Amino acid sequence: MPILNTLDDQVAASGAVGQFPDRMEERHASFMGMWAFLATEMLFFGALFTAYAVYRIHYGEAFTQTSKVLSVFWGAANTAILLVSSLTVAHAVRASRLKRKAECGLWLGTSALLGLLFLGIKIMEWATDAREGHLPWGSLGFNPPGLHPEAERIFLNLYFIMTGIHGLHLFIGIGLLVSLAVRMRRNRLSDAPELPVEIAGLYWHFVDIVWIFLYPLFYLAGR
Amino acid sequence: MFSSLKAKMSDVPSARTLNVAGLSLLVLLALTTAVAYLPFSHGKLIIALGISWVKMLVVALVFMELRQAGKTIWVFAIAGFLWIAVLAGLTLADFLTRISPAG
Amino acid sequence: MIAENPTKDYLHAGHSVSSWLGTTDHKRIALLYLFSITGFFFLAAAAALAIRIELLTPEGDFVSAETYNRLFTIHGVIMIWFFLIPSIPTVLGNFLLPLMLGAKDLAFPRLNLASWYIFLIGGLFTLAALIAGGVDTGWTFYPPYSTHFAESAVVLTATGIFIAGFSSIITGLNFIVTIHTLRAPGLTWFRLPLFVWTLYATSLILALATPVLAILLLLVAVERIGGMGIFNPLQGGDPLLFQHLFWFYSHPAVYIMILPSMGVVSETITCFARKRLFGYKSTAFASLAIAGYGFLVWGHHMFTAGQSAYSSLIFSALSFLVAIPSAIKVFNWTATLYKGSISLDTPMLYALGFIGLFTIGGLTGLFLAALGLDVHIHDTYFVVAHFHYIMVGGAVMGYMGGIHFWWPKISGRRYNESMGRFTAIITFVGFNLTFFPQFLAGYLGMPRRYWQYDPSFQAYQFMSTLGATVLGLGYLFPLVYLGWSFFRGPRAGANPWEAAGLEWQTPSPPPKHNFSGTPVVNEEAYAYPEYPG
Repeated sequence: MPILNTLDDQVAASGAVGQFPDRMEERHASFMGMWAFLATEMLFFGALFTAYAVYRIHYGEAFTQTSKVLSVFWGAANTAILLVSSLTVAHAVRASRLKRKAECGLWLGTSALLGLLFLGIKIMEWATDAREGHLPWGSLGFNPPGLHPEAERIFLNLYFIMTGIHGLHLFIGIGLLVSLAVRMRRNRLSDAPELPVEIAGLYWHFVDIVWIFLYPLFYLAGR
Repeated sequence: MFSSLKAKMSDVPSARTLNVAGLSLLVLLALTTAVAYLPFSHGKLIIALGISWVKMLVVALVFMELRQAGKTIWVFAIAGFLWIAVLAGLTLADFLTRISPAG
Repeated sequence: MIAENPTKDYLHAGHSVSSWLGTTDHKRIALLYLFSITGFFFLAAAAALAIRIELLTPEGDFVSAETYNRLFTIHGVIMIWFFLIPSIPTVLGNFLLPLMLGAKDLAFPRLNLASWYIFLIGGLFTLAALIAGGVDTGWTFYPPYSTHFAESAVVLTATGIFIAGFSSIITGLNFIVTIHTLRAPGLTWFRLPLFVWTLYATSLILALATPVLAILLLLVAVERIGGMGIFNPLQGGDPLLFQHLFWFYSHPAVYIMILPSMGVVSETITCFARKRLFGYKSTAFASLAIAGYGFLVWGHHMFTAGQSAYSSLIFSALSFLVAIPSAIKVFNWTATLYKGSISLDTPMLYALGFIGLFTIGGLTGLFLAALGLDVHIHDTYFVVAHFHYIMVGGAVMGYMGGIHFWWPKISGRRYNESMGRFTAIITFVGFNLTFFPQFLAGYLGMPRRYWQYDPSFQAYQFMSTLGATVLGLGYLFPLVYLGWSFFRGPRAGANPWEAAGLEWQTPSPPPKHNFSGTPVVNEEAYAYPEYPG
């Protein structure tokens, strides 16, 4: 006795998208996939935040005082830039849903520019740290700012690694937005342009959220 | 199960909602920075992290549209947090309960 | 009887190299993985052979101590990351998941192909490390040795594993989304084959644990290259932080390795006992419980490392409890056998072997979870025997059973059943001869990772090497008879085992798009009493 009946391929005729029965299912799966991926990214950064927590608790003030070498002004400025970029990305998503491709492209471009601005400022900050002898590596002339070089080393190590990895993620995000903007401008996206924009948007907002936590933990720790 | 997604396709957020959310994020940023410079010393970390949580919720619920998302996605989002809590919690359980002669 | 059309099946739909290397067909990708991981398996097995030869005599006379360290490290690294972790998910999982769900492919077929290439690139880095002399830190890479003192290809190896980790994550995400969204009409969660449940549970671990490993490898590389010091006590760091992060991944990783095998056992036991699974729901939930709960016990690898006593206490208690869902499964399989109509075909022999050996492995895990006892047997051969009972006696036997069970579906051919049974038996015998003496040697105090040892242990090591030779044959024979059958074996029908499951309702080998329409399911899983024969 057979356990199944086969339907005719009416599903295929109704606009099947490859292995998905329809566009709605494809959307559903894409959102699910990106959120699942973001959950993995949470663990990725979560391990670093755990390392931070361990050493902050262990070293206490010696650890947090090191944050004074960082510039709150630039940190806050960068945070503001990223927050605004999340807003502009959200507008891009909105425009894509309204099928306003030109407007969407502009919002995407603006967001990418803000991201680049963030990275520019970040690199400038790192260069300043290098000049002032705050790079805690090998023979780069580390000049401990305080009285507890071990704790300061670890703070700075975590700072560079965490903002570095965050920056890498941001860079990838910028690439995504730029490529979407270009494709949108050249009308290369399908008649359903909102899906890739929404998915890229989710990623961008996640990267923003990571920074939302990095800012107080590193810049405001010792104030 | 897909009703939340169906709502999504025709559910275009208003520009006003987005802008209000963006503005509130900037206000919260100002708040975070200001609090850091207040003259008391204890509890600043908690406050700062608390405000960060609020910012995160604004981004997640409004920009990432978690409010309109289905159950499965909520489970994924919460699972991420839960797992970080396990990682950090049980790791810190070790570091916080060590007894060393040097203290 | 569904007619075969050899011109349309997935093996023959396109003959060019690019149709294979550029395929997005999950079935072809499964074969690409099969080919890759088999290569890695034999490479790691060669390292094991060298180890076993060295251990025939108490003196270090076959290789130098340095080389010995590199041998057991490369054996561990390749077996774990390039064979065991991918094995069932990327081969059987990739091949069967869409079929079992009644779908045309996975949710993200191009990501699937990308994941294979990423796996290969990771493998290439590791092979490069091997050529550069290998790594001598043990697969566990503990700092500060790995970060400050080891003079071997640590960064290269770490990079290879880092890259391969992304392959795992992508596969896991693909499976999760596929299972949520591509089930055929009528295929509710509780009608799914248990193999799918275990793939889901495995994918949860792949997605949530692997990122922590990735960041850790990055930190090790940065520390090694840049002299960072986050894990170096001399620079204010704590090596135990590494161990916490490492085992947070690596303990759940062992469940990645065993869960899919458990799924295979559920499929084969039901088929060859011609019976529904006893306790379907409890088995399904047990799989999820193993995955979730498995994240809470990692500290049992660190009892003697310097972890706080209270922390060790907590982890010990939690580790006892993790045995419960596994025990539930073993009970359910056994109860399924009871009053079943049992036929001892090759896959069944492997499944029965799994149950016995996994039980021994699991019970010895309880020995290790006992805090006081672990102080005595940690880092001895007892541990080595324990994990090989689970990994080889359990996971690999499950893998072999699965390969044999689904071979007709994958290749469209039957293998020689007598050879299959013979091989299953010598594998079982060889395995026990290899690893049981190691329990004894370990309990009597022989440390692991030692290149030379006290002569009082020689009898055990000698027996172990003897067993390993037999075990090796158990892996070489299938290479020959399965390989031969792929090209020359008698053709199989759609359902040669008369098994339940959607994958058997399509020709062997399946057509490129799996099904000729969309299947509709209106029955529970393992509806065996209704099957003829």
